[in-house]
Amino acid sequence: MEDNSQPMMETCNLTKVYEDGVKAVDDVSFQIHRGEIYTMLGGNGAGKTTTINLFLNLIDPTEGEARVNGIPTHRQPLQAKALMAFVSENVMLYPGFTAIQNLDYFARLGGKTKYKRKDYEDVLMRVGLEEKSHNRRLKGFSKGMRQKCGIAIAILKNAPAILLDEPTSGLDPKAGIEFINLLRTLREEGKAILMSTHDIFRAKEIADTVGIMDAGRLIMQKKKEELEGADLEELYVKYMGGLAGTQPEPENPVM
Amino acid sequence: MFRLIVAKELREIIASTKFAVTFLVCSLLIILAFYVGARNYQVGMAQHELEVSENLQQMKSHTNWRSIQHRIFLPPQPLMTLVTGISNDIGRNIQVETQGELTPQDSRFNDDPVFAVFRFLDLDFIFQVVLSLFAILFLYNAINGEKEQGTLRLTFTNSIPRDTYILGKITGAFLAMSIPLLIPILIGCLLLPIMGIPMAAGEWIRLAMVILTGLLFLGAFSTLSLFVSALTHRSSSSFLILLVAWIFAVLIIPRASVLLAGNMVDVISVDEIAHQKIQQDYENEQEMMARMNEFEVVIDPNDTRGSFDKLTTFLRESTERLEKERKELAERLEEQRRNEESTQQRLALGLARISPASAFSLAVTNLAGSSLELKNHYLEEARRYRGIYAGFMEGKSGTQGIILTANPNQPKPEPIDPAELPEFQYRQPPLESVVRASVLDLGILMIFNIVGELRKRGTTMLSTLIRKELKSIISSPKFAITFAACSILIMLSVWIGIQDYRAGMERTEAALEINSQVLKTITWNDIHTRAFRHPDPLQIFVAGVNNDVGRLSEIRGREEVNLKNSVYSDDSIFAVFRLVDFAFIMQIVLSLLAILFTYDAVNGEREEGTLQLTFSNPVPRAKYILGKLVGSWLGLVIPLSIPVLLSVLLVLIMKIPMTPLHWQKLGGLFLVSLLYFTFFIALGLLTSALSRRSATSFLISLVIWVFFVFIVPRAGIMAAGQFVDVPSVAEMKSRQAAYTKDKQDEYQARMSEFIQSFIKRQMSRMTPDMTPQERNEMTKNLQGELEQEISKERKVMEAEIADYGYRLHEERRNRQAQQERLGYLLSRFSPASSFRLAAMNLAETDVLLKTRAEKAMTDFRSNLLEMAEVKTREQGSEGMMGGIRTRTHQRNDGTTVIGFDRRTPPTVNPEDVPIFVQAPRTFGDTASDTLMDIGLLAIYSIVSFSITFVAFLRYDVR
Repeated sequence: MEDNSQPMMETCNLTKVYEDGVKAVDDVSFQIHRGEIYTMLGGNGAGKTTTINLFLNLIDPTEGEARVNGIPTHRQPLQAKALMAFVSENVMLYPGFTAIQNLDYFARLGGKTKYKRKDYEDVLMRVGLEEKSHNRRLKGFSKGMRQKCGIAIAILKNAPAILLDEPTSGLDPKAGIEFINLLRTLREEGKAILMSTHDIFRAKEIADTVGIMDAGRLIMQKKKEELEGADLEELYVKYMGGLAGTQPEPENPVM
Repeated sequence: MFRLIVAKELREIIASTKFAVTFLVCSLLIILAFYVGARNYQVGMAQHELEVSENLQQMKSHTNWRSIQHRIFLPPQPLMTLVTGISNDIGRNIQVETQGELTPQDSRFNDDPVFAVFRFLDLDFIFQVVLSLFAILFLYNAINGEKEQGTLRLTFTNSIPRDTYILGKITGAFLAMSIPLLIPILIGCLLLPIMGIPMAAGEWIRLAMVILTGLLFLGAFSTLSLFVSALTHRSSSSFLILLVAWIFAVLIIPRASVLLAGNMVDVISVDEIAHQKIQQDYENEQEMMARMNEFEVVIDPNDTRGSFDKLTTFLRESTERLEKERKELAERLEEQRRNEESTQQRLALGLARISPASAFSLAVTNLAGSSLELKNHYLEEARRYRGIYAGFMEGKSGTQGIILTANPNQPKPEPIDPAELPEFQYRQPPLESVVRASVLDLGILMIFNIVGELRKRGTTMLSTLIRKELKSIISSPKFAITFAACSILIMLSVWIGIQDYRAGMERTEAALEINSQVLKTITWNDIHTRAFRHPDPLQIFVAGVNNDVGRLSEIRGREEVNLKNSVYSDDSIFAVFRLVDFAFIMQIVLSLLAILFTYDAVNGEREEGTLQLTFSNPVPRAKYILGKLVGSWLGLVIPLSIPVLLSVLLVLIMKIPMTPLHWQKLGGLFLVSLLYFTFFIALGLLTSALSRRSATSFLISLVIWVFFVFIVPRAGIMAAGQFVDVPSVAEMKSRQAAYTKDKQDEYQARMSEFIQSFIKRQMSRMTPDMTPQERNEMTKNLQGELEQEISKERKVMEAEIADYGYRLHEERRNRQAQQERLGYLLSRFSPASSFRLAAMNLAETDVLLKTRAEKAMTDFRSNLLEMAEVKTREQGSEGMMGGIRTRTHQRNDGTTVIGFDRRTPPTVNPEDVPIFVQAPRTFGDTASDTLMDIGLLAIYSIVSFSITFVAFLRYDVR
């Protein structure tokens, strides 16, 4: 179908300056291909969530653009969004609906109207939500359970591009491992995955490419092969300084 | 510790938006109420003085004290204008007669029904309905809101005793709430002396107590809110519970208890009493006539005088007995009515006190002197005055009357001096008795406070969107609550309306029955009857001004048709807590629920994070917002239409006679209702698309709702009342009487001059050489001419008087129409007014109800008079026969006997007399009048949705 050499997701000199003058994203460019997992590392306020919001066209870029399969998201938001699935840091769903009802609603919003009840149950089992919870209202769900529902919704949409905003925060260790396995499967299915996270170990474990952001800029980007043997934690501290409490000393910004 | 909590609470609330909004609304409403009250007092006082002086003015031309028409007027009281109670429902003047019943006449709402359309906004109402809602708003999330924020857990990681915390919480909130209340009240109080309202020391005390009662009342709602907030986990559920409690306390319990008491205790109606009296008079008279016809006295030739005396003694005794019986019956019936009325009132008010809102309302109306007691007190004062008046008249008896005299030398009778009349001094009930009467209610409010305190210690995209919206609404507690509230309210109101309709129908039928009995006793020559407004089934749904304007009119000779005996004036208890009809439920409750449905439609989803997830999908914004609108709309139509259908079923089951026309109009009413709440759904959407937080949009919606539902309609009418002066009915009566007096005097003067010149002419024509026969002949001719001339002049005078009366009424009607047009124009800035006007128009209970009924009755009167003329002519002179004569005849034994000759003149056969029936307006007529309001409602909805649409296209969904 599509040209395989074309990146599924890419940003081109993407810049977002808020009305109060804060540069949330500053001249960021990267590419993510099919079957590739890209993790963005960075502290609070580094610009990770803004980058994802720009992909989803929840805000308009000040300069540059984000493209999905070559489609500029701020020009053709509806076409672009049809190709993306999104899981937020804190998945919020309708508390009055059951898990299945929420899935059904969002699947339909994503243009998938053919799913049967069985499909919803299968996908919920796949993300690790116990069967007894399928028909319970979301009201009583823990954060982890809601997170699983959010992932299920993303899977159901079956989009070639997946955006994950801190997806593992709030998951217990077991669920965390299950999630990583799930990501591997999705990669095998050929999805392009953009994931923002604080979690250096998970990032190292699964990422094909790692980008480190600080103050809106992409200050480092390395392929998995380049990271082979390197201590990512050390790199992170070196570039960010944030965790060690020292001033950031950016050297050799990649781009 | 306690002070820390109080200070934190105060600081938090004062810095919040809801404080600012409450402050704004309170200031606006309270200062407006004070201003309007003061203005009303000024206007009322000016009118009162005018009426009193006109009443005296019209007496000036009288020469006989016996012939004056003296009226005493209820003077306006400053507090009564601030807390109106029933003071607009009962009559404001009393015609003083030395005997017989005294009845207050000319109630404000009967005279000017336009003010009954959107009632006054007084302090009572503002506290009871609006401020109680704000008290809930202040505290509904006092505890569970902190829990949701997580601050509660953090607070209790410190060593804080729970009772100190809760006490500090309520004290802080109460203090914070007092600020937006007391400041405008203070400004309002300053306004009173500035506007020159005379307030006595006693009245300041009463006003202070009114305010204190208000604070206690809000305290009751505050503690209730805190209690519910501590019982529930989520602030949204505590808000819903409190809203339902509010609807019950403020809207349902007070009214339901009055209606329940009305159904449980029957009170003999005013009509029934009047007719029972007439009935007894008729029977007694028949009996007396029979006995008189049998009574005979043998004439003793030696003492003819004695025989006649016996005859007169018999006559006198019979009349006296009749009089005594009449009086006894009247007293018995009045006593019965008083007893039944007081039982009904005690029961009703006792039941109503279950709700703090009724306890509050009863206490403040009591303090302001506008409670149910007002009517009794006014009558008591009038009776007291009558004692003075009767004594005065005793001394004035025997003054010369008006004599038509031909002698110019005879001294002209002196006109009376009205200044001699003793003045009517209205004394307010003493403060102690008022306070004693309010103590019970104050006690109840205290209990509500304390109890609260104690308990606290313990497919396609669009259809997917619409379906989701519907599903989410239907599974939400607000849907269940709306459904329950709608069902209870609508079914209750329709059931009560049906009971009311049936009672009205029975009353009318009974009155008609007795009316026909009365007809049996009178002749066609002096026919008079009563025309009754028939209850209409649509009044079940929209009561409008139906209960405020009179129910019947006397049809007598050429007298102006005048509706009197309004339901609220006769049975004032129903005016205390007015009927809740379908239109009221729609206008106030459903509009609020509509806002509740949509105030967080957009920003609520944003807060929950679902909006972001939704728009990570290819969802066009236009479709999304349209889906929201349609989904919420359908979600509200369901809980509305089911009770409506059940109500219609109830109407069918209870066999209310509905014609196809009625059904059409009822359909129209539902259509207008749908349009009306569509606007409020669009309004909720609009505010939720304009603001980021649902708490903000709720406040904005609530303020707009208060503004549209409570302020604009009333302010429009009141402004019109200030701009256009309408002469009062009493003023008109005075002017009419004065004019009549003038014309009669002029006529008499002219006539006596005319007679003199006539006699002179006659004298001059008489020559001494005429034979007595010729003289007789001439005198006879001249006499005929004279009589002709006099009757011609008399007719001219009468026509002039009638014409003046007509012009006066015409002028008043024009002024009224002008006032109404302006008032409606101004109030139509609010969809609530448009809705109410349209609903009343459709149900024919609009402000023109009175005019239409009076016009139809005037036509009826003309027909009846024409018929009476024909009938009288047919019957010849016999028809006029009446009176008592004596007859003598010789018996067979030779003695002469004397007895009464009382021939009964042929009386009316009631079946010949047409019954007054008013033709309903056609659907086309009402629909064309309603069209403007329907159009306006549609425009309001479309405009607010368009703004929503545009606003949402630019909405930041993060």
